[in-house]
Amino acid sequence: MSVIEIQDLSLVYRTGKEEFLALDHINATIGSGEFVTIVGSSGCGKSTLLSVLDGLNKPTGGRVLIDGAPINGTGPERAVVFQQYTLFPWMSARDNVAFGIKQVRKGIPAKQAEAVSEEYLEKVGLSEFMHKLPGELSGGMQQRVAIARALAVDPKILLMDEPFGAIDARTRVTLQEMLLDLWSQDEEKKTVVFVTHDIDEALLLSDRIFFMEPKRIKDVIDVTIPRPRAKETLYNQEDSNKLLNRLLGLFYQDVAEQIGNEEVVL
Amino acid sequence: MSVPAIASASAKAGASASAQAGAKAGAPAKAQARDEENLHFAQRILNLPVLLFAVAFALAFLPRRMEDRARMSPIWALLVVYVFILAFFQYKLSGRPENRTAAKDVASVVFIFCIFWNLVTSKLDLFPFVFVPAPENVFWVYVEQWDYILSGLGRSMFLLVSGFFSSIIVAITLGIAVGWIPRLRNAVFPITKTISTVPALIYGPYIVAIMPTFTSASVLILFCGVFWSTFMNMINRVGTIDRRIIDTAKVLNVNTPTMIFRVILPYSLPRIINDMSVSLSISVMTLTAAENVGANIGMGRYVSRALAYANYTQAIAGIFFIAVVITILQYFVARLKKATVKWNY
Repeated sequence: MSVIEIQDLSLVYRTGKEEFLALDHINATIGSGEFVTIVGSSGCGKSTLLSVLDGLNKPTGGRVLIDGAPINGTGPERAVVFQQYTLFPWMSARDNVAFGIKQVRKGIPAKQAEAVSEEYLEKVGLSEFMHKLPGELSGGMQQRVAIARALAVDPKILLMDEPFGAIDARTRVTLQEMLLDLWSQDEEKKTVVFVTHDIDEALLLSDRIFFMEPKRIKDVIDVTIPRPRAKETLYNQEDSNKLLNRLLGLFYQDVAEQIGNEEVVL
Repeated sequence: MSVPAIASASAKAGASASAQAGAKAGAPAKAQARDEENLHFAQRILNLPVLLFAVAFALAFLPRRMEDRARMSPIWALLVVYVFILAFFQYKLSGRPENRTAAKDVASVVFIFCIFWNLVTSKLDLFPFVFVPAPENVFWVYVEQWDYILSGLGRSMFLLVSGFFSSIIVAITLGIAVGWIPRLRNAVFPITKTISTVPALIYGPYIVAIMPTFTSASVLILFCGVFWSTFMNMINRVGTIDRRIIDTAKVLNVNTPTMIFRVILPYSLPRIINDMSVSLSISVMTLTAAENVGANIGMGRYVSRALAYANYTQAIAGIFFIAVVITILQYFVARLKKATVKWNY
């Protein structure tokens, strides 16, 4: 629902006297209602880029505009789903979601927040588990709760940092399809930025793929596969195989470039 | 809780299957299910601790050689203690099945110790009676001096509760505030680290000297005894809190009070309560030592005065008493943890 403009964005990490350039003059625009994935090998700065978008990191150069206004820190129009351990372990699933709602809709009666929370937990298929603590839920269920919490505040932008990275392959497919379902249900689709290192995931989910090499976006790929998409039929099409090969090519080229000077963990 | 519930459910299922074959359905199923949860009367009675209890109980009535030299107290206070131990053992036996063996072992050791103690002192008179008092004399102290001991307990508890809890509350509040603000943390932490290495007992007498009353002095000593370590731990904890929890809270747009009271505090609560049981032991130690300096009554004062008058019977009674009181306090801390913390790291 919102346009994100990344203008000349740079980020330098300082630890003591050492400086490390994590992002180097990045420019990109993400359209309203677009689903963009950021793909790249570990350490290429994709999570750093997302952390600037969600407001946890301040850029050292350039800026990020949302609907034309520069961002300053975190904001209620953006919701974030991290990889792991992002639920508060002392709150039940319902309370976790309701907590998120209460922060954005100040003064909402507790009962109402709980009702909204239950509604979203139902959407992610966890009605039966709403009174469980995160420690009593599986990793996949915990991510469902995290997604429910992010969606329950009805954000314009959804930022996801490898949300299914720690989930087993089978559950991951279910969660990917659930996410696509929830995203396409809205009349005015949310703008999604989704970080992953899984090429299949990127092809299944996104409208465009930003392929990152260290510090910058190397290539932008339009994913022309028609929606609705399903994992099992994804590679039945000519297009998808071409895209897959292109992405794999980028990946290995990137790795080959790096192996000369430093070790790379994919 | 779930383990016995499942066990009883399966027992019920098994019993009802066999009951279908029998004429009387329902009744045997119920009986069997109850048996699964409760112990047989025979299981309660026919075990080593109960046997040892009987031996100890009977032994108390045998003639006492020590009577020739020392004044011996009536035995019924000792018998009441035995009954208490037995009752506590039976209570533990009714608890979770996996703890039953431990309950039996502990009770056996305690009764063996009692029998041994009774034998070598009052029955056989093997040691100098002044230094190794007989158990009936030790436990009789509680009967003789109950009002004095209880007023000492009340006094000690008052000091302990006011010093310990005020310290914990102040240390946690300040610790969160200091830990949350990096500049303050970097300035205060090294100082706290240095101060916290000095035990409050070292400067205890100095505090007694400068404070107007002994009460205010001992509250202050207790306060210092717990404050620095709790404060330091809290600063540390807030400083090293899991980044992911803080990041999650930040992207949920929480304000500072919410961050502190709804996120950091509940996240730290399990460790705060764990530390509390350690701090509690430290403050009881500090308290009893502080009482040696200036109090006229109190649990620690009771023991130190008894020792000063070489009344080892009273001293041992006092030591037992302190042990029981600390154990009860620790039990309350454990209950508090169970009631407030339903999760773990």
